Amino acid sequence: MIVGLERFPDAARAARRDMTLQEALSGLRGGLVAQRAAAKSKTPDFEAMRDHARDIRSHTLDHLDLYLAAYIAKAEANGISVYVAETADEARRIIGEICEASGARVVTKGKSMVSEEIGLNGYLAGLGIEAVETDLGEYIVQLRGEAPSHIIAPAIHVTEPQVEALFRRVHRDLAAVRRLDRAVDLVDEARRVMRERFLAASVGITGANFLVAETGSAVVVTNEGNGDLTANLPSTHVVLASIEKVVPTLADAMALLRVLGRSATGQDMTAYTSFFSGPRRDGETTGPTAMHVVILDNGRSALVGGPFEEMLSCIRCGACLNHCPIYTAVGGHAYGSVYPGPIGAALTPHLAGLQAAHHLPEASTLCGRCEDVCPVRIPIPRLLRQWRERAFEQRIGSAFSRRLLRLWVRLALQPRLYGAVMRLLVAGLERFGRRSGRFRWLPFATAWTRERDLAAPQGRTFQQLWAERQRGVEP
Amino acid sequence: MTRASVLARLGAAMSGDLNARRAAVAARFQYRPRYQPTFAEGSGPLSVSKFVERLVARAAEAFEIASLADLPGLVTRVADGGGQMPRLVHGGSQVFAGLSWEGVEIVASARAGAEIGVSLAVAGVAETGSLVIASGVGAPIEIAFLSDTHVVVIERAAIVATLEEACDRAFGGQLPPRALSFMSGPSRTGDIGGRIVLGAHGPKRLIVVVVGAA
Repeated sequence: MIVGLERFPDAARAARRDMTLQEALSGLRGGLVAQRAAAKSKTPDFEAMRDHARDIRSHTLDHLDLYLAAYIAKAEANGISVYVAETADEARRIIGEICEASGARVVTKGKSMVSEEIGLNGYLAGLGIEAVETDLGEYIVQLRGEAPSHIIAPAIHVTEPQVEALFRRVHRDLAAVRRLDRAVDLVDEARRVMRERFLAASVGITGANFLVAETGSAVVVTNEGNGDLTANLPSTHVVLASIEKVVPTLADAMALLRVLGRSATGQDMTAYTSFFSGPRRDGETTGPTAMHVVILDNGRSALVGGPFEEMLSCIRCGACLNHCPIYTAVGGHAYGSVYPGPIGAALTPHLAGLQAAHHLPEASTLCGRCEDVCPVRIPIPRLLRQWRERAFEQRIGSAFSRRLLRLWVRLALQPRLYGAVMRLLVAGLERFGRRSGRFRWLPFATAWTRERDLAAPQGRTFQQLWAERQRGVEP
Repeated sequence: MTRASVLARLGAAMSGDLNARRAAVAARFQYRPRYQPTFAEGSGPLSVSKFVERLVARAAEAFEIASLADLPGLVTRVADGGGQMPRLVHGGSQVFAGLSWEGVEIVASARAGAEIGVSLAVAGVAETGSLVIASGVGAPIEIAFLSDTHVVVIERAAIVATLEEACDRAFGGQLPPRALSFMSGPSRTGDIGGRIVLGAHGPKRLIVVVVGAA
């Protein structure tokens, strides 16, 4: 669940000092970021695909009530039991009852951010039901007793040697001489343990990337195939999804899948993209005999038609996390939210309240890379600014920062005064910093200079340079 | 009832005339966009060779045979039984049950631990190099996930250009198949140290067999 949001500044500082975490995060730029860039360069119509994806999402949100009703009708006609849950608590209870009715002691789980949001595993444990995460990254963080730190790469903060130590500690039947120092050995070991669980579970719980109204299908995207083993092997399949996952047609789902894989991992299609459309049919000898779909609201319907509606367009690709200077500096756990990174900073104040989560919209340079890479073009910087404005209106935040902001507003609203103060400041800094061109320490800016130098200004302000350029003087 | 209250709240938040919105939704279900992908690498129409090329680029192995009768021989050649006779599961469909299998032990259920699983794809997608496999009578989809080696047979004529065309082939029936998967390479993970490893939970080898004259 959502804990420790108020601690963001301390948690971020601690994350910067955690060298193991920093090493793990350093792989992002050469990994997921480079993979997306390569996929983009191989896809000439990528920008048009993104426009189309954005249009699908906004069309769906404009008629979400009708598409949700259409999905439910179609799914029920396919033999699926559909439930709508208003709150996290209601969703937990529904799933708990389904598990108890099928006598489940062990349930397997495909990766589901919504199940993290509602704290499902802890609830099931309270009922005496063991929930086994089957996505390898989720399995690793579950064994570590942690939350995922990334929405598509849950264990991105964990290094290979840490996984080896973890498996040696937890997998008790593992021989000491067994080689586990390569990623491939670790994957084989997880596969061995997990295979027994897949075959033993009587209920499988997955999330859904999309719910297709046209066919009543739940779409589950994975690379490992764990979602399919979770959904196909047990006698009961439960899908947990939130209301905004609905898309109108198969063609719309395909258009969104084209941008999802490319944005997430640089793949034009993940290894497995699966459509689950009901329980076992007449004559079939395998597959679940019951399929349930639990659709969660948890405050989302209140966003529709309002200034934060675009948050519901998110398809959870994780690109905004990978490209964010804040996320890549502090990792996901510092946020203290199930949903970290830029989209998490926009979404969490709605889920947890602005009072608790006000640090997250502030933890942004508003550089705009998140919006640049978002497959459905969510204006995340604008959403973050809206939260900041609300926080100021509601007198949230320290009195000191509010006083500084007020001072700044006074200055910024008087162009002549602003220009004069800036000229003085920039000229002074230029003089003091002339020798080395940079400051290793600067009063009032120690938070900056503790980790890096501050480049000294070149003598003239932006406004001066701009005015010169307008007059045709080359700088 | 929660369902009604959530739907009503959503409805109240919507702007626009309800009848006009109903018409827009009905029109959407009739609309069949025809996507024509363009690709930077290579040119020319999306073809069988593109389909194979894309799958092979994602670590699948590809073979072509003239007729289904050649399948058992091919499987025996490429299968690695580790010195023992490999066990094979095909689900019992007419397509595979009628073939004369040799050098393999046919087992009835994928859960019995067969090294080789054989499936028939309902479509192939050249755009993405994906095989489309549907569950059905005599075709348990678990075969595709439980064996170390997954052999997928696809008729040359079932290979289409785009994801949308594949959907038209796969979802044509009265009811959609219970489960249907677009498979684009063997099972893989990047969850440990960001390194890609094949064979995470599902098959370690994906072997594609295109059947029919070129």
